[in-house]
Amino acid sequence: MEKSKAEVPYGTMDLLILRTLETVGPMHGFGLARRIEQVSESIVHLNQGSIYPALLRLQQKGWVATKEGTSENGRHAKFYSLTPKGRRQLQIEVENWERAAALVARFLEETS
Amino acid sequence: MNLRMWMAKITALFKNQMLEDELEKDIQEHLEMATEEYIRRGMSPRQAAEAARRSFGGVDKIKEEYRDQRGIPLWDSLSRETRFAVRSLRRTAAFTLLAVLTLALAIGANVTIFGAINRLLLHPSGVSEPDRVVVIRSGYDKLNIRNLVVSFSDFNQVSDSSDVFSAAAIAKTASFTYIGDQYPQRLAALRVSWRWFDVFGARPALGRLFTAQEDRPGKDHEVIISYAAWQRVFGGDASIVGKSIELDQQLYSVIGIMGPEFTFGINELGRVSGQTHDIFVPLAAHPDSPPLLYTETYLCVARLQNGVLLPTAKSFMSVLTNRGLHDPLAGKPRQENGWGLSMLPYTEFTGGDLRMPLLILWGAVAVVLLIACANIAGLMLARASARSRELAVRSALGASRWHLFRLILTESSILAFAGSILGLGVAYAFIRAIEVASPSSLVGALRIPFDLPAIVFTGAAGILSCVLFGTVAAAHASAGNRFEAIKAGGRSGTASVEKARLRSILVGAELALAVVLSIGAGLLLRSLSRLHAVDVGFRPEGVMTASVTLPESRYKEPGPQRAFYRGVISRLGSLPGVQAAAAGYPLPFSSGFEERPFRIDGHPTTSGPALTAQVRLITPDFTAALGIPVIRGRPFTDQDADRSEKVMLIDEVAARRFWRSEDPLGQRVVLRSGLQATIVGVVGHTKQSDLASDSDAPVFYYSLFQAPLPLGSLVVKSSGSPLPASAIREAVNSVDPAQSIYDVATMEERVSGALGTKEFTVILLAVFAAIAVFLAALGLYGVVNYGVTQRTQEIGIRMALGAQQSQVLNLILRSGLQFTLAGLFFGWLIAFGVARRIPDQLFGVKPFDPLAFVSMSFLMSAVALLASYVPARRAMRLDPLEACRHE
Repeated sequence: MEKSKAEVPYGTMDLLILRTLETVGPMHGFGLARRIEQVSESIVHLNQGSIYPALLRLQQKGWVATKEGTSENGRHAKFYSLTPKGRRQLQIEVENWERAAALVARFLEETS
Repeated sequence: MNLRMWMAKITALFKNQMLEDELEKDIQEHLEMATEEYIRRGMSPRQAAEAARRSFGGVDKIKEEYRDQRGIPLWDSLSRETRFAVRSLRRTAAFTLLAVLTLALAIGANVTIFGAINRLLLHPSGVSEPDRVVVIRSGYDKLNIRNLVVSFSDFNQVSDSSDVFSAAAIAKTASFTYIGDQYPQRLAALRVSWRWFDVFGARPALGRLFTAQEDRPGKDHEVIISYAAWQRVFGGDASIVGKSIELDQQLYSVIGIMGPEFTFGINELGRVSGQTHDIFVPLAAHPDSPPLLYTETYLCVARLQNGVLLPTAKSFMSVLTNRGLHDPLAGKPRQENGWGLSMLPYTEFTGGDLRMPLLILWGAVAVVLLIACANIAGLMLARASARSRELAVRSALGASRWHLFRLILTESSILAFAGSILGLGVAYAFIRAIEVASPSSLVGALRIPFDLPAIVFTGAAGILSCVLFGTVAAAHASAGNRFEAIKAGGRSGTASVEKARLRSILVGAELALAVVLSIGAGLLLRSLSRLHAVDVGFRPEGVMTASVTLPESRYKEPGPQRAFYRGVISRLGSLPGVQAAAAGYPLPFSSGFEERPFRIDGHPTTSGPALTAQVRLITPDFTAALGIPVIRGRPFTDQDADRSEKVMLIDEVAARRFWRSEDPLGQRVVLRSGLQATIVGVVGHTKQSDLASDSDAPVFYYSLFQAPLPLGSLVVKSSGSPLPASAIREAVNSVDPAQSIYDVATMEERVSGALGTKEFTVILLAVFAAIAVFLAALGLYGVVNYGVTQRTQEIGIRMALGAQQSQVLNLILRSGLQFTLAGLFFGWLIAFGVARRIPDQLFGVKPFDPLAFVSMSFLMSAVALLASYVPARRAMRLDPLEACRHE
C-alpha cells in the first residue's frame, strides 16, 4: 500500500455515502463501497468494510433507510436509500464542506 | 447523540443476537458479491475470495466497530466482564464460597442490629413521622429531680400552644378487670386524653377514636382495644365494635380497634417494656382545684406543628417554664425548688435504656463487617498472587491497567452482590432467632421488622464492603510490574511481596479488632456474673407472686379490703407445701415505689428539704415469705391489726440514716399524710428495682391490715418449686369470683427480669465477638497457609539440609505468632480506649479489668495458634524431595 494514499478523513465518510446514494439511488452495500472506491481510488484508500459502521450510524440518525431487495445479478441483498431527512442533511453537509474547503483554500493561498 | 440514536441503541441491546446474525449475513453477501466481481475480472475463485477479503479490510475489526456503533460500548463490555468474572469465580469455587459466606454472615448481623436500632431508636412502630413527636417532662433542678411526669396545668399550657404543637395529649397507666367467658382477666390499660392518637398520627383499624366530648368525667365509658388484645381476648371478632363490655364491673362500649402496628408499651418512666397496653380508655381528667391541678401525674406527648424545628420547640419550653413559675395558683414550691419543663424526642424517651447497648452492638457488628471485608480483601490478594501470571499475560496481550482494575472490581461486585442477597437470608434467620431467644421483658419491643429500610441498608452494606475489599484488591492487582511476574513464574517478584505485606497488615488489623471485641465482651460478661452474684437482700427461691387490684365499687372501705386479703392469705397458707403466704405493695423488683416526706416525733424540724422514705405496706408474713431478716425488734404479727396503736418496721438503711446514735425502736414517725406509727423492728435492706444501681433509699414498712390498700401483690413461699398461678387464682376466686390476678411471676423471674435486657445484649455481643474471632482466625489461617505454599521450596531445601520437623513447625508457628502479637498489641490499645467510654455498662468491673484482658488475650492467642498450627503441620509433613521440585 502506498503511503501517500491516506485513509478516508474522519467525518467525510458520511458525506461520501449520502452523496453517492443521492446520485445512484438505492444501492446495496457492496455497490456503494465499489462506487466510492472507484470515485476516490486515486486519492484515498478505503476498506470496503468500513462503510458498514458508517451506514449504521446514518440509519440510527434516520438519514438512511434499508430495504430487502435483489441485486442486478439476481442475488438477495440489503438496499440502502436516502430518506427525505437524509436529503436535507446532505444539503447541509455539502454546504458545510464547501464553506470549510473555501476557508482552507483561502488560507493556503494567502500563506503560499 | 440524539434521542433517536439512543432509542436505536437501547433497542439494539435487546435484539443482540438477531442483529449479530444480520451483520454476519450482510458481510457475507458483500464478500460474495466482491468475489463474483473478481471472478468476472478473470481471477480464480480462490484468488477472488482472497482479494475480496483484502479489499473489505479486517472483518473482525469492522465487526467490532460496527458493534460499538450499534450498542453502548460500556454496557457491552460490562456484561462481557460480568460473564467473565462469574466464570473465573466459578473456577475457584472454594474461595468464592468462603468469601460469600463470610460476607453474608457479617451483613446479616449488621442488618439485624440496624433493624433493631431503626425500630427502637429511629422509627418506632405505629408512629407516623416519629421525629415530630416529643415528650414533655418536668423537673425540680434544686431537688435534683429530672425527667418527671407533668401536671394537668402544664398539659394545658402545652395544648394551648397551637403555634408550636399541632396536637398534645396526656396519659396515665391503669388496669381493669374484664370478665369474659372464663375467669376474670386483668387488662393493661392506658387512660388517654382524647387527642392521644392524633399525636402519634395513628388511625384505628376498625371503628373510630375518642372525641372531645368523651374525654369528660361521667361520659368516659368508651374503650378502644389494641389489636393484640382484640385477637387474644376477643378472638378477633369484628362485631365487638359497638357492643359493650364489662370492665371493673362497669359497662364500656367498644368504639374502635387499633391496627397491629400500633403496639407500644411505654409507661410514665419511658421504659420500653414487653407489656403493651391492651385497652385505651378516656382519661377524663378535669381537675380544677390547685393541688390536683399542679400535681405531676401525667405522661405528656405532643406533635410539633409543621415547620417547627426541635430546637425552636425546645427553646419554647423556657417560655412555658416562665409562665408556670409565675402562675399565682402554683404557689411557691415551684420557684423555691427550681421547677421547669423540658422536652425530648419521643424515640429518645422510649429508647433510653436500650440506646447504649444497641449502639455498642452496632459497633460490634460494624467491626465484624470490617473484619469480613479485610478477610475477603486478603483472600482476593492471595488469589491475585496465585493468578499473577494470568494477569501478566493478559496485560502483555494489551489489557490496560484500568482493564485489570475493572476485572477485579467486577469480581468484587459480584461477591458483594451474592453476599448481600445471602446476607438478607442470614438476617432473617438472626431476627427469628432473636425473637425466640429474647427475654420476656423485651418480647414486644424487639420485634425487628424485615422491611424496605432493612433491604436498602443491606444494599448499602454490600456496596460499602465492595468498596472496602474491592478497591484494595483491584488497586494491587493492577499495580506492579507484570513482566516480572511472567519471568518469576508466578511465584515471587516484587508485586507479590507487596501483596504479602498488605495481607499481613490486613490480618494484623483483623486480629486487633477481634481482640477489641472479645475484650469488650469479656468485660461485659464479667459485669454480668458480678450482677448475678449481687445479694438482693431477700430469698427469691420458691416464691410465687401475683397482683390484684380491687375495684372501687365494692372495695372502697378498708373493711372489705382487709377481709379480702385475710381470706386469700389464709386459704393460700393452708395449701400443702406453702411455708408462708402474705400480701404487700409494692414488691421488690416491680414498680410502685413512692417517696414520702415524714418527720420524727421529738426530733427538731430542720429547715432543709424534708426527710423522705419509701413506703411498703405488708401483711405479717411478708418478711418471712421473702426471707427478709429481722435485725432488731420483731416483725408484724396478727395482733398488730387489731390494736389501735399503729406500728411500723424500718430497714437498716433508714436506721443508719435517721437514727444514727439513737435506738429507733419505740420512736414515732409521722408521715406528711398524717399516718403516725411506732417503730417495732428493724429489717434488712432489699434491692428495689435494679441490681446494678441501688437507690439506697430508706424503706418504711407499714401493716397492710392497719392501712389497707385496694391493690397489692400476693407472695407465696413454697418449700419446693413455686406455687402454680392457678392455685393463687383459685384462692382469689374462692374469696371473690369477680376478681382477677395479673402480673404473675416468680420472684426469681422478677429479679432475673431486671437483668434480662442486659443479659441478652451481652450474649449477643459475645456471639458477635465469637464470629469476629472466628473470621480473624480464618484470615490468619489464610495468610499462614499461603506463606507455607510460597515457601514450599525453601522448606524443602531446609529439610534436605537437615532441618528437623519441629524446626519447620517452629518456623511457621513463629510467623503466625508475629501477627497475633501485633494484633494483641494494637487490640489492647484500642480496647483501653473503648473500655473507658462504657463505664455505665460495666458493673463491679474496672474498665481495665486484668482478668478480662488477660483471659480474652489467652483465648485469642489459643485460637490464633490453632489457626497457624494447621498449615504449620502441613509444612512439617512435606516430603523434602517433592517440596524442592515445587513450582
